[in-house]
Amino acid sequence: MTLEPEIIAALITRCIQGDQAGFAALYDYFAPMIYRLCYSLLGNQQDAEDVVQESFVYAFKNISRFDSNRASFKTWLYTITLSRCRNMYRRKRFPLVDLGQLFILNLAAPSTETPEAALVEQGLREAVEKAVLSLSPHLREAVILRYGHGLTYREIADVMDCPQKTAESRVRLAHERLRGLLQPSVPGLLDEWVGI
Amino acid sequence: MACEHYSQLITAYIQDELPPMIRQRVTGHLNTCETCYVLYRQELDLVRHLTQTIPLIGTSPQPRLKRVWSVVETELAQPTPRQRFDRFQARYGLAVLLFALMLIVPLTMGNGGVTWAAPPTQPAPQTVTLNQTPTHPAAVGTAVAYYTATEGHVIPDVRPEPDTTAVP
Repeated sequence: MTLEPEIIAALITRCIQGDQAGFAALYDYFAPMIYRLCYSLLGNQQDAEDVVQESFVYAFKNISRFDSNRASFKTWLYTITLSRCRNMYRRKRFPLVDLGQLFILNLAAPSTETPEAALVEQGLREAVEKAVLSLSPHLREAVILRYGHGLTYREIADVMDCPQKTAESRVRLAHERLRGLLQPSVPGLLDEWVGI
Repeated sequence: MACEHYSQLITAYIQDELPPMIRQRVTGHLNTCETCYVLYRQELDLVRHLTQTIPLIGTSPQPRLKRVWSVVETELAQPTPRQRFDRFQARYGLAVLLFALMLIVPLTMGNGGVTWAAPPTQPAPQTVTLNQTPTHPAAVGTAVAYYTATEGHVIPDVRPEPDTTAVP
């Protein structure tokens, strides 16, 4: 389900007027993607839920300050969420260990046809997830916003509060790091995957 | 040098974000350079896999979003009339306090309510020179002590005793 910008604008107007149903509708639409962002960055269900809660409470209490001329509601909400995720990194000193394992366990099973192909794909998937998690927070955020949420570079720059060129270079740098991380540990795996 | 330049454009090339002219040049280079073509294949592979893998993160287990909503709803129901004022207080409270102190302290001092005690003045060092010229005839020709002392020092009385012997 995708909400048109006009419908979102109407819901925001209803929220400003104090209509509880407007808040509920916005929450139902945005909460799953906000949760996914939090979980991707924090790697922990409890922390992700806490940040979702904090982000929505802040956004809804300050919804009258949202300016649609500056950014879309989604970008604004992502900005709030990312800021709270960063606070959570600082509070928790974000443990980078074991998160790869956590992600692997929580992923849906691959839907490949042959067991060999499934094995190869699962191995590569695990390697990519571990590599993404080992990136520095800025690079990980950029990659997750780009590939997990399909944001444009302009939107990534708005959410991360940096120039667009910086957002582009962070994604590019993340690619370089990921290639470097994947090749020594799993030589030839990328080539195998291409051939599937 | 050319390969280094083109390798930086490969990500944007795959995501179709290059202007047509530059895109055409990259295509031409990839057709002729085996090293960059390998890099291009790896990059293509990486982008595909990231696009497939990252959206799956956080989709399982099911988040407890209903429970989160109930907390959000409760928080929203609580009135926050003093929120703006509290923020104002926190931000400017210290500045206002300092400003008030800057106003009050000089006024208090100038009103005679509080006066500074005058600092003690140290007298300038004074040199006292005692030149004791012997007057007694018996002392003529003998050694005479001259004392120089600053104020406060006790000058020993070394004046010679008067001669009681009869003078012929």
